[in-house]
Amino acid sequence: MTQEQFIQLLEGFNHRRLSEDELLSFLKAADDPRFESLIGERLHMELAQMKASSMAEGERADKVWGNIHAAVSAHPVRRIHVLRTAWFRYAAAVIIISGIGAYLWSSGRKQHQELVHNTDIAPGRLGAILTLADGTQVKLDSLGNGVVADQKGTKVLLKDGGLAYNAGNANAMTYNTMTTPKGRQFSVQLPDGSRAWLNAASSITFPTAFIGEDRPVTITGEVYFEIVGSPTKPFKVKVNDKTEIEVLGTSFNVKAYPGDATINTTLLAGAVRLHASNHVQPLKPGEQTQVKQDGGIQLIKNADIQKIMAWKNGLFNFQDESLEEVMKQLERWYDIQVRYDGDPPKTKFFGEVGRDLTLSQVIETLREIGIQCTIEGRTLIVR
Amino acid sequence: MAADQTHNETELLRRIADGDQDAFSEFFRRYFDQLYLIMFKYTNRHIDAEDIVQAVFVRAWEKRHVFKEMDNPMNWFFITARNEYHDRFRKSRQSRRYQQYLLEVFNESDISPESILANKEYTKLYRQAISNLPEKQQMAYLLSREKGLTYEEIATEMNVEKSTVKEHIGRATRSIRAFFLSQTSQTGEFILFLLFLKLLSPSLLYYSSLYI
Repeated sequence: MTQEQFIQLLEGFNHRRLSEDELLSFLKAADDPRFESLIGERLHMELAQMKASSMAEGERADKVWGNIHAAVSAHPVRRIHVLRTAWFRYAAAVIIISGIGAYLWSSGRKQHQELVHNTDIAPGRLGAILTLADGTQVKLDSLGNGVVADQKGTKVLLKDGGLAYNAGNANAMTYNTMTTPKGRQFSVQLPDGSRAWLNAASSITFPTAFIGEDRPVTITGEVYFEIVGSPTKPFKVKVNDKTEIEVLGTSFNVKAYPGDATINTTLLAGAVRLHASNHVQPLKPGEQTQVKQDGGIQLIKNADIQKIMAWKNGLFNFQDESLEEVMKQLERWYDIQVRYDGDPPKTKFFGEVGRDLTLSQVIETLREIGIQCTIEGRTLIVR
Repeated sequence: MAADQTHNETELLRRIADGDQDAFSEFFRRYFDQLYLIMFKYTNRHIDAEDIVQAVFVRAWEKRHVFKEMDNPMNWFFITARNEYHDRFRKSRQSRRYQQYLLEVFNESDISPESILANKEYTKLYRQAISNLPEKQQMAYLLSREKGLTYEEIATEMNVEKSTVKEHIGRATRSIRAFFLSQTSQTGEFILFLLFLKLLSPSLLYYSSLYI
């Protein structure tokens, strides 16, 4: 086929007037690198001539913008420098108690000794462990770039502080698992271009190439997904034997730590369907489903997205949380155990604090609001 | 592109580089229509065009920090769009399903309603036309055009014969076209446009609908 003939076919394709034979030969020729680059040149030419048009107001623009906006606002606008200014010392003091009871409770106790600062515990950081199909384990951090593994045609790369799969011509399906221990957070770009961010103490198991009818993954802990849409290949997130999320191209957060009372799925953009036991619950953006252990589903219409996504944006958000809930988060991020000396105080917290504080800084803010605690080794004792 | 327009865009991109979400929204509103149309033309499928455009803008936002160091960030934007198209199209054109879908669309003899769908005024009419369709026709039509399913897949989904799907879509296509005619007879511009539809060759058709 000559270039001229190909260009003719391309014109025909763009205007939907190819016969069956022509279409097939066009699609075949389009795989030829020579012709492929030709399409690229012509497309680039058209793009470069693209003029700014007036404001797009169509439904389609709104729909696409809705999806994009979630990605845009998921990034923090500015990193927060904790404890630099007097104002922030106050704001980062986070954890301001609303319950007077806690004061009463704590004031009746004697002051504990000063914290030992030289054994401070650093906050969590980027990192994970990748388990390959053959059981090999690879430690991942944000520093290196390059190929981590090559499995049956799928290249696994470290880039931009995350893991990425490049499924070239892979035709065999093997499974990999990425696990974040306590104190680590990491992201992976799956073979279809979809991305998953893992909070601490979480995991995701996925095929190294999505060659089947659908795109199945299994998770534990807390994972935020941004899924590349594919109408013919649904993306499915399995949480446990009874709970599965069917994805239609979208971004959403799943929180399913062992010990949590409910499995929470929150949709930021797009559409998902939650399958729990025998129920199916579709979600709209801004909604959250909570699946209880008995299989009951509760739908929350206006979920607090800022709070739910705080972890991905480098923050703890303690809005309306109890002391135990706050401590569970600290346990996972600082890789510590929390022990209560007596009954935990009944308090509700509010506010946000950076996840880059050291543990002693966190304890200091806790003490400012009347919660007494000490560190012994990796155990935080709350009195 | 005119020099002042270039300057204008560069300024906008610099604001985006500083993390200005409003600037990004404006940038999106300015370029969505055009980028979408070009991508639709190259993929022949709304859902693909949507995906590509979405990915390009998201990538632009992710890479906003480096806009400042670029001499011509718009050029970067075009290259990203082209690469994104390559990646998607390369994947989809190898699939039997996609080929099947294209064949079906191409085989519908008459000019397809989507080719009329060039700019946003028509988008609205098109949506209205679809919402007026009987339920079954509407479902079949949307599964084909928006979800990109083949007749066979639609038949399975709707639990009917493949020939019925073909009939539904054929009827839907004709109703939409008729609706366009009935709705636009008041506006002279559109009569002209429809004359173009009838008289011009398909290749000119696309451009006439774009720039009318």
